[in-house]
Amino acid sequence: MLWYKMWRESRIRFAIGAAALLWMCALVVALQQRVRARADEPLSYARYIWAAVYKANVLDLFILLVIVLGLGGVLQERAQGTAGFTLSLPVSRWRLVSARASMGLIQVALLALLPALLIPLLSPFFGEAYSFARALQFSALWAGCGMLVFAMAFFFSCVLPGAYSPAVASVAGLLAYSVLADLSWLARFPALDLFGTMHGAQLSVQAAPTLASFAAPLPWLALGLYAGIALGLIGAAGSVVARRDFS
Amino acid sequence: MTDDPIIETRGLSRRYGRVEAVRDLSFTVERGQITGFLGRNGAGKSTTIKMLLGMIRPTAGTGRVLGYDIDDPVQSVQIRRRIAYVGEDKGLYGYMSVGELIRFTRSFYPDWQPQIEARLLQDYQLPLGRKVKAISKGMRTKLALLLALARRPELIILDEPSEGLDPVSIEELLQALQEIRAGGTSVFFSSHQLSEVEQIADRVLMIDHGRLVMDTLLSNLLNNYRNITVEIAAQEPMPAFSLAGVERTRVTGRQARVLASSNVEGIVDYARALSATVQVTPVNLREVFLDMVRDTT
Repeated sequence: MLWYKMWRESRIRFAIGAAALLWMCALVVALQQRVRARADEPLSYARYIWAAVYKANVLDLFILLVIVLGLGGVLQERAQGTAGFTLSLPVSRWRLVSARASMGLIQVALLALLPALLIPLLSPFFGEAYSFARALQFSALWAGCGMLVFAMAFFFSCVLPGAYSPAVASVAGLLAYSVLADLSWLARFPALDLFGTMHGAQLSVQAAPTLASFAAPLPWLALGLYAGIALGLIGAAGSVVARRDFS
Repeated sequence: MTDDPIIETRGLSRRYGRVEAVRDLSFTVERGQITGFLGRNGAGKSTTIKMLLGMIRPTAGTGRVLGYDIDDPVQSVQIRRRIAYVGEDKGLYGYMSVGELIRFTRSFYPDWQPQIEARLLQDYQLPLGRKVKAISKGMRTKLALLLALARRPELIILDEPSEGLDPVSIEELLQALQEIRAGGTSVFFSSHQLSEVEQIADRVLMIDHGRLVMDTLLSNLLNNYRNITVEIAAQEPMPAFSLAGVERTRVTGRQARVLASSNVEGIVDYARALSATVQVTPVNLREVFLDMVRDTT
C-alpha cells in the first residue's frame, strides 16, 4: 500500500503534466502546416517535429514536469503535519524513499512515452506520417535523461526543507549543468552533455528506423551513465532521510 | 507475556545545539499500566516520545521499547509494528477519504481487528466517503484513535490525545483507554489535562526542562504526598528543609510550603521543634504538578 500512497500523492501532478504534454504535442502537430509554411527554408515534417517537440518547447515543458514529479517526500510532509503518521508506520525510511523514487521514475517514463504514442497516431489526421520507432527512440532518450533530472529534484526535496527551495535548487542545478557542459574541456565528452543527449540531434538526421532496430543507435553509454548517477543521487537522498531527525 | 518493562530508558538525552530538550532521562514503564506523562509545553514530552518511536535520535543514553533498541533502525520498525501511536497534531493524509485511510493503515498491520474497526466507526460516526481534509479536527482525532485502537497493540503511545475533542468525546476516549488496558494493552500518554491523568493513570511521570522530576504510582501520590505549611516565629531564621521525603520547598516570607512524598511525621516533628505552626493537607495531582514545575526556592 505504500505504492498507493505514493500514487495518490503524485497523481494530480502526473495527470496535469500528462495533459499539458499531450496538449502541447497535439498543438505542434495541428499547427505543422502553418509553421512550416513560414519557415525560412524547407522543413521536413520529421525535422519540424524534432525541432518543436524533441529539441525545444515540449522538451522544456517535460523537464519542468519531471522536476515537479521529483518534489514531495517526508521532509515536505513535515510542513503538512503528516510526517509523524508516515514515520510511525512499520516501514523503514529506505522503503519509503525507494517506493517514492520508483513511483516517480515510472511516471517519468510514462510521460516520456506520451509523445511517442500521440504524434504517430495524430499525424495522419493532418496529412503527415511520423515513425513510431523514431518517436520511441526519442522517448528512450527522454526517459533516460529525465531519470537524472528527476533524481536531482528528488535529492533536493530530501535535503532542502520548504515547498519551493527544492524546485529552485533543481532549476539552478540544471542551468549550472548546462553552462558547465558548454565548457570546451567538457565538450570533448559528449556522454556528459545531458541536454545534447536529450535532444537526440544525431537521431534526427538518420533514416527512420524499424521497430526491431530502434534501440541500436541510442547512446547507451550516456544513458547508462545518467542511470548510474541518478541511482547514486537517490541512494544519497535515502541515506540523508534515514539519518535525519524529524522533530 | 514477560515481566520486562515495556519502555525503559537510561540517561536518554537530546540536545539541539545549546538547548538540552531532554536530559539524562531514566525511567521504566511497566506492562499493563496506564502511564501519564506530564510536563509543561516544551518540557520534552514530545521529543521523548519521538525518540521512543525512532523519529529523533538520542544524543546520549539508551532506550528500549518492548525490548527493542530505539536507536537501531531495523529494531525501530519492529517497535512500530507492535505498538500504536497517535501524534500530537493528528496529521493524516488529507487527500485520502476516511475509508481509504483505514484500508491503507490496515494493510500494514496483520493484527488489525475488523470488529473493533466496525464498532469504533459506529461509535465515532466517521463518514467513510469524506476526504480527511474535509472533516473537523475532532473527527480527525477520532479517526487517528480508530487507526490506533483497531488493532491489538502491546503498547499504545498517545501524545496529547484529547486535544480537539469535546467533553463527551474525551470521556469516551478515557473509557476506551481503560478498556484497552483491561484487554492487556499498556498505555503511555502525554497530556496537559491533569484531570484526565488523575482519572485514568496508574502511574505518573513528570518531566520539567527535560529532566524527570517525578515517577510514582498515582495512588502513592494521592495517599502519601502531603503539603506541609510551616509558619515560623518572626525572630527565627527560616531553616533548610533538607530532610528525607521533601520533594520541594517554597518559601514566602515567614511561611514555607513543603511538598513531602514520605516521612511526613518526621518533617512535622522537625518543624514543631522550631516552635513553628504546622499544617498538613492532602494534595491532588494539580497541586503536585504546579509545585514540581514552578521555579522553586
